Amino acid sequence: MLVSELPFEKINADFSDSGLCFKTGIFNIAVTSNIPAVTRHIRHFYSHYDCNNETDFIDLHVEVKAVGGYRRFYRPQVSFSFDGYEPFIPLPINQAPAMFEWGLNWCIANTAHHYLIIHSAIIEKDGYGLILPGTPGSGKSTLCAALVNKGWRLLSDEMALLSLADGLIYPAPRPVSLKNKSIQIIKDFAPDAVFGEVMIDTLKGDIAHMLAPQSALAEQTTAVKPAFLVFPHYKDNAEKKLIGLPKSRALMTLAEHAFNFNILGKQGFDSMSNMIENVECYDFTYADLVTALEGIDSLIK
Amino acid sequence: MSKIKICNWGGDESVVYNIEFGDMHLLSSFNAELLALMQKQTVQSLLIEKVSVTHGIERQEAESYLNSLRIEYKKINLLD
Repeated sequence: MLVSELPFEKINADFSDSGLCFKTGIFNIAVTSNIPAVTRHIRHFYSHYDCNNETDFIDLHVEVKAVGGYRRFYRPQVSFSFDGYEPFIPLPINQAPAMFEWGLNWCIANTAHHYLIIHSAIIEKDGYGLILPGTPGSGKSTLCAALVNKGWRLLSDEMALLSLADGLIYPAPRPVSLKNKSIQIIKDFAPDAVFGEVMIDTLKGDIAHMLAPQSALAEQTTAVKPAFLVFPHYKDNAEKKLIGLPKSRALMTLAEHAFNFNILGKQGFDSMSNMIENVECYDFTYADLVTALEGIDSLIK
Repeated sequence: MSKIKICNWGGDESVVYNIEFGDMHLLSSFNAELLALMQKQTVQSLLIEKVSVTHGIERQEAESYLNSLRIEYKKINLLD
């Protein structure tokens, strides 16, 4: 059953009781919240996700709630908790949906240690997995959003989950988070893409989420073999350049993007070096999405 | 058991991973090869010969190069 098929009263009851439960890729999530913007966000972005069965083990039980006390009358805030632990200081309440998404990212990055977790977008086409690691300003999410609107399948715009057991990357598709100018760029580039409200002036600037395409949900249990590792670099007016990167350099750089590389120790190194061994590595400079897509699509031709 | 892993994909540079400390180093592939030989307790005269031939330098200069390298490797815990 999909979240959208649940009766409205049941959804509301779950939000305030044991949590609304749904699956995203390999994770079973339960969310409780008393904030209308969060429940709206989840109904909007997660309505086509499968509900959990009652017997399913819940991996992440999170709560997003309005902070009490006198402060709520003049500066309402939101807190995020995971199994009762609050990893962040409260934020202004207008950032509640963003805090939910950031919080889920934090939970996955800090608990899913049977995967090497790389801060990157991960997409797939014709069986080829493409990893796009991201440093701020690299355009990772913008490029990912553009590609998944032009035939690539979204596994995640935020983290690649490389299995320590089989070397495949497992999906956890969720809304794509876009910032500042990227929001309008993608709205112009992909007019059919579905967006939520823009949250103004958050910790990361203006934020809007883009609905994960249907293809991502249809294959959200299908893992992918990584084939390409591309470090994107957005530069105004730059000429498109796709340059092969020595694997040793790629490994050193990629390790900086792994959330749990140090926690996993040798197991993490072995997984990453095995993956690097089997992928083509590139530095990719681009200035606009049309030529960027040509460059990325040329990899699989 | 070796405390390092060396990854080389045929390029000029290799990645050395220190299993004990969890840190990584990007070395020239030649220096990484020397490190592997030092780890295996290869006799100094063979190492000197290798450096001397590869870099086209005198044996004395090669020995000095190796000693400096050994000190650096010890500093970053790649050698005991």
